[in-house]
Amino acid sequence: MNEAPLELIEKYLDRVRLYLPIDSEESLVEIRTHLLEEAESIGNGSITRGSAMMAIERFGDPKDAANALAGTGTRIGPVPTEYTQPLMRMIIVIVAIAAAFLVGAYIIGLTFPDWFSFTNYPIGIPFVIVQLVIYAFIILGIIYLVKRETAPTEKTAVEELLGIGSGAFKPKARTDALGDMIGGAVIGIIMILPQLRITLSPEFLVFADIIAVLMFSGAIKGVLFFVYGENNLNLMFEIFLSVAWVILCVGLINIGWGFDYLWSYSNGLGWYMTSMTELMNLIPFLSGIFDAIWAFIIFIIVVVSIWQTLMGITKISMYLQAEKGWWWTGNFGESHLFRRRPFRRFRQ
Amino acid sequence: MSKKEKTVLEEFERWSKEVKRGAASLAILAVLEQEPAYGYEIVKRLSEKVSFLKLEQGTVYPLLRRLADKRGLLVAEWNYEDPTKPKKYYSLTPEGTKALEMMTKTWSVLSAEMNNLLEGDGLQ
Repeated sequence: MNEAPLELIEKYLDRVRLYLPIDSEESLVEIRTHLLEEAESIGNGSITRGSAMMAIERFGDPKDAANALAGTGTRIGPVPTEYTQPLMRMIIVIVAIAAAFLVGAYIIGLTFPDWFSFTNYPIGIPFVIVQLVIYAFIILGIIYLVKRETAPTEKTAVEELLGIGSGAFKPKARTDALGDMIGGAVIGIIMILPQLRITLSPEFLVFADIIAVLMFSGAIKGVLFFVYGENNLNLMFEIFLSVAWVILCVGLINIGWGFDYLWSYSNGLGWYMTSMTELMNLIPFLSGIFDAIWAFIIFIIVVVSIWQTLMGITKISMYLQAEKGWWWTGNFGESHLFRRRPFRRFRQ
Repeated sequence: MSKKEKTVLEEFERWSKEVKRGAASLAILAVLEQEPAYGYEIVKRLSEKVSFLKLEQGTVYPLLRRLADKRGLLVAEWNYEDPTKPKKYYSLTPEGTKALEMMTKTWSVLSAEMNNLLEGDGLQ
């Protein structure tokens, strides 16, 4: 509990953010400025731990503040108004993760044990749902008992759970957009280099140009996100690319390991090409390893692409609901790297 | 506290809340008529000048948002002079000025008539 005063304010804002619709960063910046000035005023010109806490307490309960600010008053069935936002985000995230992994597994041809069938289907489904709800309540009850007293800056047990979905809806960080930009351009260039192309199998070579185009398009997407932040048109572009990657992966999975040669280096010979067939003849299990690596790469690409597609669709519909239109200079999220304390302090 | 006293108190609180809700928008417009201001400034000025309102700090921002985004009575502009504390300055739009005039007139008539009524009833 020996946190810096600014850290307390950030923690409080994290709690408020949980209950707000996506793209509420401007409101949070406004509240942040308010809290800083109020803490300064209470602390006679300097922000102390005590003055920060007092400013936070004066601002009120994060749930009430967020609800007053968002003020939609929407209710989903029996769920109290204040929990609809985080609950909806959590459900979407869980469904999206499940869908991404299932599609990824399906494309690389993984078979599942018979997890999803019930012997007494469909009668068993309501029982299973009731069972899961009971488990959820038991877990929540235990967490609540363990963590009953919380400061205004500490998330409650329920908020910890509901917070699972919040991170996924933050806008893309500028550093991530920069990564897309540089990564896309570099891999795109590599894909068109003759030195690489001669190593590819004839089957993979068919796809090489398409991959290069998708990589360069990914770089353009990075530039758009880097300069204009997150908006519906940029998200649409990302969805289009993600879908294209999934379609491409359906083809790529059938060709197996896509390289016929590997570049090697020796002091005497310099750079030379080693035939994969020769290597595989020498080491019999190598073929299986390379095929597994190939399947794993494709699995990751599909999972990420499906995730981006589902998140993108959800975000677009949320932005349209908030009457944001298609194009605007959007916000930037915080990179996970920069959320670490030393960086945070540096930025402040 | 008896049940009757409790009912009276509840009714007073409900009435008081409604009056404050109506007065808060007018008070914000009046503060901004003098000069543009950002959220914290508005909160401070309101707490100095209209103690009756006793607005909780967190309730001013939703009102500002409603008056700006939904009603178009205010226009907001960010000021990044101090990058650690970006400030969103609000000012009246022509529609806001017009609304303030109309609200002020209504408020004056209402308060004068209510004063007369209450004085006549010997309550003041």
